[in-house]
Amino acid sequence: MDRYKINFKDKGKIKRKSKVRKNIENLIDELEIKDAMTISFHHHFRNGDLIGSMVMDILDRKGIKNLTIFPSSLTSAHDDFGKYIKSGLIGKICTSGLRGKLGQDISSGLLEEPVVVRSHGGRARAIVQGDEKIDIAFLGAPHCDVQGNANGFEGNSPCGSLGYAKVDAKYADKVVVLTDDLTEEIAMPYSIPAYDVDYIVEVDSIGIKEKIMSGATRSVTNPKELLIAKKTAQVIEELNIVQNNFSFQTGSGGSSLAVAQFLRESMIRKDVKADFALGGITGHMVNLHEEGLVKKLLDVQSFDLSAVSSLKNNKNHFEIDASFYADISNPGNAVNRLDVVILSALEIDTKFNVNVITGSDGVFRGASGGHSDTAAGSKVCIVVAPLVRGRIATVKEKVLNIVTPGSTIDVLVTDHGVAVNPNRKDIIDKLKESKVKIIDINDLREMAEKITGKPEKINYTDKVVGLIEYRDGSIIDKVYQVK
Amino acid sequence: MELLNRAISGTMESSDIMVEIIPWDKDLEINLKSDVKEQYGKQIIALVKAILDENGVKKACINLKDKGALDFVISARVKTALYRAARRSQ
Repeated sequence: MDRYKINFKDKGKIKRKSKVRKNIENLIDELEIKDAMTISFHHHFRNGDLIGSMVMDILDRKGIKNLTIFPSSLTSAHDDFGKYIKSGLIGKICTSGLRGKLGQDISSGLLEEPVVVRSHGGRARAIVQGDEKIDIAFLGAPHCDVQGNANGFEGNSPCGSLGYAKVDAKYADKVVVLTDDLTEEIAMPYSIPAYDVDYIVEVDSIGIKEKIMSGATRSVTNPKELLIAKKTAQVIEELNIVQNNFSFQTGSGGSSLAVAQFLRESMIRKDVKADFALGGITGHMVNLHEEGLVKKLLDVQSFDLSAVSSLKNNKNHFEIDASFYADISNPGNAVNRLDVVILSALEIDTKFNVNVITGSDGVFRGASGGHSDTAAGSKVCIVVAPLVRGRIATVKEKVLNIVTPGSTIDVLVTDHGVAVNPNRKDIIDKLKESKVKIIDINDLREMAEKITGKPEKINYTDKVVGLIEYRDGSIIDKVYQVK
Repeated sequence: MELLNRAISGTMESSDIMVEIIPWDKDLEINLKSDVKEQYGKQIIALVKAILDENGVKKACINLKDKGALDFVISARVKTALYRAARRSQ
């Protein structure tokens, strides 16, 4: 018997099959979507997203029932999704954020099945480790070629990084790219590679341009926020974090954003350069990068147009996916290299537990985001918050819901003082020798209550409307229906 | 205090309250819209009632649009609206 058998069959020219479909309606028939499947979206278009409603509308008309929707987050663009719950189309929701009208609907018990709230890293982990199987991912892309190579920084409605969508593209059973900028020309560099894409549909518009970039980013002029930012920068400096090749992440809240500004001064004074800035990338970080103060930007989500154009033009502005960013099961995840992260909070309690998902009335009005991921990975995690917001105390005896456990939060900076987690003796010792005055978090709580008065207890029923999953997949808290 | 005309005080800014007082012949009616109604609604209405009591106001319609004002702000705004409604300066 000859070991080397010659086969001359099937050696013709490749017959090209187009992935491009005329419209979503026909494609959905072709995909044979069944009841109880899991479909996903990304939230890079934030409040301007048109993809979610576009797809859900058609599925609803087809009479599909009991779908699990698995977006990377939900924004005000999905405010009216309650109608799909009522029609039976949505049977379950997994998300990072939940707010607005939909948040109220869920909190008042509209959806039978509890919403699963995951961090950005936690969502990536759930996909990578197979806790969640995405049947079909509907991914909007601002720029896409006819084979499916797609990116977010070109086209009519750019959003910058497609970091969350990259994970869906890689792991979903079927991947549909929806674009309003379909080109024959090859789309390079790509964020989503053509080999991850099964179908492409050209639509009129994937998002409302002005709203894609709204929401999270703003310039900071509020004196309270600036004061907190200044104090935070002082803490960072006293802890000697600002050294050559340090790394940092700032969240999207006002004080957190303004810290970047003060870090700049500190870096120039000390003549040091940061290795990288991570996370949601803002214009503030781009400025530091272009000034040469931050060597690299690792971008999972671009918050403004300045970040978008930097991603396009600066070779050391890198797009990373959510697993690389913050997935606990990914041995190379970037949050584990962070020196310092500055995060916001809706509420923080005297055990340093943080709530970023429900408001003071117990209703969904926030997002888990990268909060618990960066808190756990970073060497120092600083939460910044005003002591009170309007009449609502930020520092409380017990938060309504825990997203990030206090064991991973190190410092709290408020406009009324700085508190340090007692389990960080090293930080306490360093700050004791500095100009920063440390105050007991219990004293901050008392101060807050003196200003606001004692609030009435929230009336909950015993129905669970949300499960907050920690980044490792364990459930860290339950959210109850509000009466 | 005798109320002569409709009066308002305050703003819709965060941490403020907009108070509208309308004199009428019916019993006291207080309508509260508040961002913190669940947590502080009862306290706000009790505070406003106490101020009205103090000033002998028994027949009026009070509309409150609260944006998370603290007690001293609420008190100042309600008193100002009362004085304006009574056309008094002190």
